[in-house]
Amino acid sequence: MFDKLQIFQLVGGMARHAGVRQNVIAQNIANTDTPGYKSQDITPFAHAVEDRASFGLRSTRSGHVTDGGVSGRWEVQRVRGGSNQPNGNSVSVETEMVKAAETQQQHATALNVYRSAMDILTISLGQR
Amino acid sequence: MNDLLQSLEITASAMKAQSTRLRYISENIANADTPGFRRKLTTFQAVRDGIDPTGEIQSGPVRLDDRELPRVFDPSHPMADDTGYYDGSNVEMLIEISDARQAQRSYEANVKMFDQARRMTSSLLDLLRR
Repeated sequence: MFDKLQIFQLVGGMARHAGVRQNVIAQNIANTDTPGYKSQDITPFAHAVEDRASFGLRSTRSGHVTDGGVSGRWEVQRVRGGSNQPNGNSVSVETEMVKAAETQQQHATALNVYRSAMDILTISLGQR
Repeated sequence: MNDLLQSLEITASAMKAQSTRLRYISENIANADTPGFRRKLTTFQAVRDGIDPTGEIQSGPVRLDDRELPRVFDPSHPMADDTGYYDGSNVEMLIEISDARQAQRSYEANVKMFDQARRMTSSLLDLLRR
């Protein structure tokens, strides 16, 4: 684990993903009453990690270069379906609120994992 | 971090737009009995930086509802014409109240998002405080 400290990169990517998603959801909620606005979302974090496994750099020996970071592997896309109001707007505030709660959970998880990994690291270095 | 700060700006712009809308609604309600008053409407539009939308929104230009004004019969009214009718206002209380309620709900949703983004930012900064 302490060879490359990949966990920090992974967790950093997770927190960044939550940040970007929060931004997209904020845009959706800001546009609940804008005529013609279509709801948006970004690629789930799990997909970003899977993509890395199939398309990313593969390390088969310990000395190989790895790309531990998963940032930049998600993109904003329109959500299909959803409630269609007469003015062409497809944002449902309830759905967005659920997504916002998920995002916050993800962010909190990432930060907590980061914190405890940091704790383990400090303990193993003999400080504290 | 940058995204979180941007989402704070987006929600703030939406709250501003909703409160502008609420202002026009209160103008309408205040003028419900003003002869010849036409209901004011506003819609929201995306703020653009050049061509690219920034994600923020603003309230668009004010339009006047051009529905026909109701004719009110009151010969003693100073604005009544020879037949005893005058033009009323085309404000409907029920529509205004439901619009106001919708603006309030959207405003609340934005406040929630603002609070959440703020909490996420501060928990991120808490990582530094060890």
